[in-house]
Amino acid sequence: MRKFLISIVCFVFLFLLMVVCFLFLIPNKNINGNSLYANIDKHTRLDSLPSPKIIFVGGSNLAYGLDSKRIQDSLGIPVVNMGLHAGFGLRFMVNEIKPSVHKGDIVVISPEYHHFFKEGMLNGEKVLVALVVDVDRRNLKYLSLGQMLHLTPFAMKYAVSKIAGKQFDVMDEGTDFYENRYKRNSFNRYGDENMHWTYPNREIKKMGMPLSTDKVSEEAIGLISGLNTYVTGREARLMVIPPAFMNGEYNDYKRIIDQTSGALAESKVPFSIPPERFVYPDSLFFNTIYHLNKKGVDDRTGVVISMLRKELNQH
Amino acid sequence: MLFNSINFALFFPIVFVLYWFFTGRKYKVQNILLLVSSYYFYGCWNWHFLFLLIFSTGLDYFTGLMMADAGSKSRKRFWFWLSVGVNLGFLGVFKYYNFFISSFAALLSSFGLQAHYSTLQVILPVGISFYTFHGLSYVIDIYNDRIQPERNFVNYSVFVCFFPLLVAGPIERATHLLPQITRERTFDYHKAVDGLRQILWGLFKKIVIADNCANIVNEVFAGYGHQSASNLALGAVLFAFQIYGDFSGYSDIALGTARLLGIELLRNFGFPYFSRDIAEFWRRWHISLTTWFRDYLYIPLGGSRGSKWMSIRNTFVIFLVSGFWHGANWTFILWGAFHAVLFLPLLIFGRNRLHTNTVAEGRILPSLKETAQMTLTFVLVVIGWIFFRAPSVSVAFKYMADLWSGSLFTLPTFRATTLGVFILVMLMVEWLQREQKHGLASIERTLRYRWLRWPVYMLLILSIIQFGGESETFIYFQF
Repeated sequence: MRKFLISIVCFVFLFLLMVVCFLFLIPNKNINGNSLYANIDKHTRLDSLPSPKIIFVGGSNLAYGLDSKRIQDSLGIPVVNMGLHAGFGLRFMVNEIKPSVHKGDIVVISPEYHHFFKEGMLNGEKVLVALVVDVDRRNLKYLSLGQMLHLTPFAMKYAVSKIAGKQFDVMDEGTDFYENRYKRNSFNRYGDENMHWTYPNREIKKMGMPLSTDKVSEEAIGLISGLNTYVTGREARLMVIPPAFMNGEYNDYKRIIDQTSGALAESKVPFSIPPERFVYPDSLFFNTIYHLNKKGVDDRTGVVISMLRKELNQH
Repeated sequence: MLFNSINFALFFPIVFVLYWFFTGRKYKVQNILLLVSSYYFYGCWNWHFLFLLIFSTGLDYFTGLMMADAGSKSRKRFWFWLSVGVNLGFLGVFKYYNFFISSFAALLSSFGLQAHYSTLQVILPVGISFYTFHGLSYVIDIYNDRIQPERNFVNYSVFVCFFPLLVAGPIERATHLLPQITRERTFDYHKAVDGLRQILWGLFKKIVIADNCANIVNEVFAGYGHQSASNLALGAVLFAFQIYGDFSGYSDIALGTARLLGIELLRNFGFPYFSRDIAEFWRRWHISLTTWFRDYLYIPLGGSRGSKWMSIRNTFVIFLVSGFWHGANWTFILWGAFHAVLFLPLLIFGRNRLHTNTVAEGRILPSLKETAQMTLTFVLVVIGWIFFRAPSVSVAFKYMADLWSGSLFTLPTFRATTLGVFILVMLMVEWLQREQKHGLASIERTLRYRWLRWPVYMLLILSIIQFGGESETFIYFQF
């Protein structure tokens, strides 16, 4: 038995050592041009803004769905758009902004519907490993132990990608849709991806739909509810808004949207805007069911400004 | 809880450590631990069905005791039929109720009669076919005085509920497993290491082969009406590898897991795609089910002792029941009938036991004749799998009709190069190991040094991580 255990421990140790070496020692050939590096810029802005400020939290529906400069100019309050990639998972998105929430701030969270139904979208996927390993290791502090365990297979997968020199594909997964690829410099200083505003629409990339048997994740709802408690405790405010969504897919997703909306309302963190308000014609979408083009961005931004103005007037 | 999940990767090491280090290696304490772990393992799917499992176990345990203590033959028979009736009743209600009702209504309507019927929204309890068959074999063996009943309820429950085999077999026999449960187990280094290797090989087959095949197979079968013949052929062939990788992979993991706990389970697969005829295929595919039907149905029906006609009838019955065991759908029955038709000529001409040895024994390569035999058998098996995989009989026939068109000779539109390479690797490894128990069984002899073997294991793990398909549940869980 002793020999067996020693062998197992040695094997596991060597294997993990190899994975860690692949993860951390193989240099990231991508240097710093990839869009994931926009996370560094967003954090720099988040940390530099004085309170009160408006922090937008979510996935790429925000990166591709807001004109933050217009919001800032309209309301006279500094804005940062933290939205970047849904694959970071809702838990990470929530945790990464928490330390920067101060008195008077307004946190506007806009998760993708997938965040409420898929385990990977809650705790993060391979792209989150890429972020914490190769883009900015300071992000490691936002991961819980359980989350690290969940990410272990993704980390191994990412390590193998690195051996094959394919980490660039991981970061660009599904996003290689226009000539300049998906780059750090396609974001403006507020955190919006605005380079695509000048591009014509691309073919819509559909996402794997949650199964009909899937239920709203209580954990995801709990995260938002917990964020609300946290934010309120810091004398700030939380608002939950739905993502923009494509009309052509709406009927297929209606059950998912209704369930999400119902579960949030039940947990006293309802959508501040009805989901239907952000259901837009297909022609207003750039390349996925969540990504708006400039025309769509303008409309959504207008609605968000009205909502925030109302909120500010009430207080 | 799936074998290929993080949950199991956490669950099993905990059980392993408790089992060997915190039980004083006393088999009675180990059995209690195994039982609790097995209930937890099963409860992770649906804890409500734990009650059904416990009831079924309790029933067979109790009737076993009553049969042994029955004073008369008639009382013994009463308890026997009670157990068989209730076991098959549960199976009938949970698995076949809707099938019988809707088939009966369809039959009536074919005579112009309208039947008003309602089907039940019955959830199939995972593994019910497997643990019911465990219990049945125990009761039948006691009835036939082949074994004495187990008087300790925990021991008996472990025999039925032992988590590695609980949900998808192998279907164990009391004569084989119970004696192992009722004696001290010793830890054997070589067996444990071999168990780990078998688990690794099983995971490779499940995650790399089966799950990746599933992506293409699902797409082909979902849109079968719009696929070219070459796509349909690819879908059918890949399903053959999917179901093999899935089920034999599961069995390998189950056997390896049990071996780490000092328990040997029955072998379930013997490299069936290297069979030279259908009879050999059935000696190598799902061995524990085939032998179960042989011992508890075929032989009691008279087996091959009577006339040729009797043998043919019995063989047909076995294949049909075997098909029906897999699921409540005519497709499975047709699949069984198809294999019966392939088997019968061999039986009639007395050639069904022609190939009882391993193909190309003692040689590296098969002869041309053997290659042709294996290819033909594989093609026939693949045709059978179309019935098995299709959602209905009409779809199966349409699928096969569409296969025979000019587009059969065009290139499939699905790209499966990497998957093809992995299937080839699996076939090569298993060919070299065909006289062994599993794909990595003799690696210690081929690669004598640890520093040569470990990179191979690491490579396998990395390929599982990198090329693993979308996690699919095991196909045989539905049976």
